[in-house]
Formats: sequence, C-alpha cells, structure tokens
Amino acid sequence: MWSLKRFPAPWLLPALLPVAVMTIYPVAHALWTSLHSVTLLFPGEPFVGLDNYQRVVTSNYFWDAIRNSLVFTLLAAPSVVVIGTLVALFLQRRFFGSQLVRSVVLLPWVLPGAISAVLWIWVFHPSFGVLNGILRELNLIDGSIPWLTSPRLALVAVVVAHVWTQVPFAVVLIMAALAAINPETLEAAAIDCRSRFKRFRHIVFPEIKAMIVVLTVYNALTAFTSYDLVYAMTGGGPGTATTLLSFQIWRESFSMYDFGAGSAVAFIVVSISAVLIVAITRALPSDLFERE
Amino acid sequence: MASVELRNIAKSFGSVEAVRDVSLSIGDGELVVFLGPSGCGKSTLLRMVAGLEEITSGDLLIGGQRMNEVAAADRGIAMVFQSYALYPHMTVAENMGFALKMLGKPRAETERKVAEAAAILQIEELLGRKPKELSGGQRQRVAIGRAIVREPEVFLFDEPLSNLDAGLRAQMRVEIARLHERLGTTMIYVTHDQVEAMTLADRIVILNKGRIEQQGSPLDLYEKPVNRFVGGFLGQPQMNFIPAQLVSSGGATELAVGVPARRVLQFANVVAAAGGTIVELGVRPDSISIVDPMLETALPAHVVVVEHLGGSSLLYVQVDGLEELVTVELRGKTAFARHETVGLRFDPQRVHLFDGGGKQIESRAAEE
Repeated sequence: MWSLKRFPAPWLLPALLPVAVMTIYPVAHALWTSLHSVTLLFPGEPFVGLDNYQRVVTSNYFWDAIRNSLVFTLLAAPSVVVIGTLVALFLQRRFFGSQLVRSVVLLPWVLPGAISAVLWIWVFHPSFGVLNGILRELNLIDGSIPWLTSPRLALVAVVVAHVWTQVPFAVVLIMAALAAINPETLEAAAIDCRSRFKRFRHIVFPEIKAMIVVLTVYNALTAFTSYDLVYAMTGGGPGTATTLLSFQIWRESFSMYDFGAGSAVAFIVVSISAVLIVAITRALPSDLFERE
Repeated sequence: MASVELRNIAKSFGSVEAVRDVSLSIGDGELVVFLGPSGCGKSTLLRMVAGLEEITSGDLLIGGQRMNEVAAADRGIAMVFQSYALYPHMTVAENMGFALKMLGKPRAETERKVAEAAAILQIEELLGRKPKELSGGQRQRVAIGRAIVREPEVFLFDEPLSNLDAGLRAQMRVEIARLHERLGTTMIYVTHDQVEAMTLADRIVILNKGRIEQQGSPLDLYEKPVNRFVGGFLGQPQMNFIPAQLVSSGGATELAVGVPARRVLQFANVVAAAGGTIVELGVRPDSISIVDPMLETALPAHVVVVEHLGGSSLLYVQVDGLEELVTVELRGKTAFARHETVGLRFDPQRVHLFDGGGKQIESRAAEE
C-alpha cells in the first residue's frame, strides 16, 4: 500500500524537505520582509506594501547598479564559458608537461575571493602594478594607466579578475564533458571531415552543449550575484562605476540596517536572475531542459 | 576501389613495439581479415591504414600512392567501428550524409546516396530516428551505411560485430559478405573471432605480438598451419597438442605417445635423432576417430566428459601419462559414456608435427 507508484509524494519528502527549509523558506521570508518595514532602529514590523521597492528603485544608486551588474554579467559569463572551453580543448591534448599544466590551471579556483582581489590589485595598481610595469618595459606606454581609478577601466579590470577566478571551474566541467565523448565518435568524425573547426562545430559542440548551457546559467548567476571580489578590489568605486546590485543587498541590510529595503533589492536580484536563466535556456536549447 | 600496400610498417608506443615490420599487399577488391588475439597489433595496423595512428616507420600505399602523411579524411577510406561511433545528436540520415555534407556536396546528391545505402541495408524506415532509439544491430547497419555513402576506395572494419549477440552476429556476418560481393570494394576487416575470419575472408592474415605469423586462404591456414600458434588459434574446438616422441624404426620414423608409449603413427620423410626427438603432435578434434583400444596403433584413453551438441558430439578423454584432456569431435549422437575406455586413432593425412620452437615439421605419412 506504500508502493512508490501509487503514492509518489511521500517518497519525495526526504528530497523536498531540505529544499523547502533551505530555499523556499528563506525566499518566502525575504519576500515577506521586503513588504514590511523591518529596521533595527525601530520596533515593530508594519506592512508597507511596495514602499521598500519604490524607495530602492528611486534611490540614486539603483539604475547605475543595475546597469553595472548587467554589463558585468554580459561581459563575464560568456568570457568564462568561451575561455574555459578553449582552455579545456587545449588541455585535453597530451603534451609534455600536460599533467602539470592541468593542475596549475586549477589554482585560481582554490584561492579565496579576497586573496584573488589582492593579487589583482597588485596586477592593476597604477604605480607598482605588474601590468603597467610590463607595458612600460615594452615601451607601449609612458606614464601609468589608472586601471582601478578610471570608471570605464575599473569595470573591465574587475571583470578580468572575476573571469580569472571562474575559468578553472568551467575548464573542469568542460573537460569532463569532453572526456565523456566516445573517442571512436571523434575518430569517425576525423575520417568524415578534415577541418578541425567543422568537427568541433558539428560533432564536439553538440556533445558538450548541455554542459555549456549549465555553465552559462551558473556563470550568469555567479556574475550577477558576485560582490566579494569587486568590493575588495574597488569598494564599488570610483563613484558608482563598479557598484553592483548584489552589493546593495549587503549595504542596505547590514550597513543601513534597513532589512526591508535590502530584501527588496534581493528580490529584484532574484527576479532578474530568473529572467536570465529562462533567457539563456531559451537561446541555447539543449537536451537538458528539453521536455520529454 | 584500390589496392593497399604495407611496406615494413612498424609502430611503437614509447618503448612498446605494437607492430613490427609488417609487409603485406592487399589486392583491389580483396577482403582481407586481420586475425589475432587481443594485443596482437591488428587494430593498430588497421588504424594506421585509416590515418588514426601515426606510422612510426615504413610506407603505406593506397591505390599506389603513399599515404603516411595524408589526413584520414583524404585517404579514400571509410571505417566501421566496434562501438558504431554514430553521432548521437544526429538522425540516421544525418549520420549517413555527414561526410558528404562536409565535402559540400549538393543536398539532393547526398539524399539520393543516403537513400540508396539505406535501401541496400534495409534501414529506410530508420532514417528519421536518432541512434539512441536503435538496437545494436540497427546501429551497426547505420554505421555500415555511413561508410557506404562515402563510396570509399577501401572499407575498414574494426571488430564491427563484437558488441552484438551471437545470433545477430551470424546474420550481420552474412550481410557483410553479401555487401562485399555487391560492392566489390577492397575491405580490411579486423577481428579476434576466427569464425568471422574463416567465413568472410578471401585471405586471412594472422598476427601475433605485432608480427604476421601466416597469411593465406582460410582453408589453407586451417589445413597447413606453419606453426603451433596458427594451428591453435584457428579452428573450433581447438587443435589438440599432444607431447610425443619420434623414434626410428627400420626405414620409417614412428611417433610414440602416452605411457606406456604406443607407436600410433609412421612417417616416411621425418628423421628422428638417435634416441628419439621430442615433438608435439597437433591434431584437430575432427581428425581423431574412435577405434578398438586393443589395436596396436590405437591410443587408449578414458572418457571424462561427453558433450552432445546435436549435430555432433565432443568427447573429452584422458590419455595415461598426459596432463591435458584430448578433445575428439564425432558426427551425430554418440553412445560413449563416462569412464569408458576407448582407442584413439589419428588420421595420418591430417596430423601436424611441431618442433620445440613451435614450428611445423614437414611430415608425410608412411604408406601402411
């Protein structure tokens, strides 16, 4: 009578309960908080409707932050996936020292975000940074380029640092997907088609496409919600040039102690993330999200 | 169609020599089977012909042209793999037409050729399906179809039937034979299954440890193995190898087997050393007949196991003084039972003698 086929729901509980406790409850609580005035300084949590949202959207940082976040995501996520795929394709070949190179490539992955940030500050530092040093050595520049203090360059710099930290994970997953391809299929392709590029496009890419979609979604979310690296490198500046929306969740909640507004920003971030997921999976249809 | 010529081909993986100094010419339209145990280098040899493996030394010629450095796609070959190697995300028709599409052939031509190949293999109704929706046998048909569509000069088969069950394997074997007859294309077929080799091949090349042991027509190899390896590898059930001694007796040389020794055969042209020469008698199970054990030229033995196969029976018998059982194949049903004592008589025209190094000793039975 407790058969799996007749009563499937109870059997799903062990899997669903943790999801409910860890995901649905916090999101629901955030939604509730965003509709109430919850501040540390004032007692009581009165219902305020969409007041928090209105305050957030009309604030002086909001449109800058949302633009920065979207630009950051649009630059970082595809870069991570493309570079990750290229590196994986390269590392998949056997060459002298390939094992060593494979382990070295994974290094950025094991570094905490704050350490990576310090590392990249050294690279981009205007006066004693490695990058300006090299450019000067090569006589490409005379003075120094203000990588982290010019608004436009600062965003590029944080994107570069973010991509650097995320590429190893992409490499690992793409390499796993490449390793799962039947080697005889690749050999059949080599007999059928001489061009390496065409073989990648017609045989290899479709085989790793599901993984690429997963990585794109994952990286879009990681970029859109990223804040530690950026905060440590630029503190959101100069001005609001690298202020990201996710950073404002923290600022509203834990700097201003306005949890209602913080939750409102969080909920906006969640909504935009959901739109991103749907957009990516629509743009790159793959078996993974195909309906049976 | 084209001939294939291998001149002193060798392949090393690091310090491991997989193929050593193989020379072979394969005629236009011939079906040659590379046969050997796993690790003998037969697949490596085929992959070098295909262009999937670099040739360490030696020359490969297809249609008279040196192909060593030519890309696999430009060698005019098509290959059928053990795992079928179909492109999983493409339909059967797309799989079959892929090579032509990559060559930029017009769509109508590709479709016509795919349809023709599908008709030959009777897979027309599968053209719209994906590989995962097909059975193993159907997949292998598609893989063969993909090869046919390319109209190659040379077909290469790398153990194409190994993943199929026994019934399907027999059926596909016949289909490949018919395909060869129909297309008349040069084919190289790699297998470790000697039944496939015997039934399909115009010529079998037996490989062992990266070298050619012997090549020739299937029946030639079966009847006249040049060494113990070939004798033991071809034939099912396997050839019996029985330790024996050659002893001089008057004008002839006699073969003594068992304890106490029985002189079971006489040879006219073999000379034994003084005091006898230790040899191995190679005799196929169907070259042994059961006779009265009291006969002077019969070798007495006890029946240990009887296997009834319907059309024939296998008797496994123990000869005193021998470690291994001797297999005897008898036609039809047999009335022999376990523990019974029987006499073995070896067909003097169909026995083989091998020396200590496993090489065949030329032997001719003495007139009785």
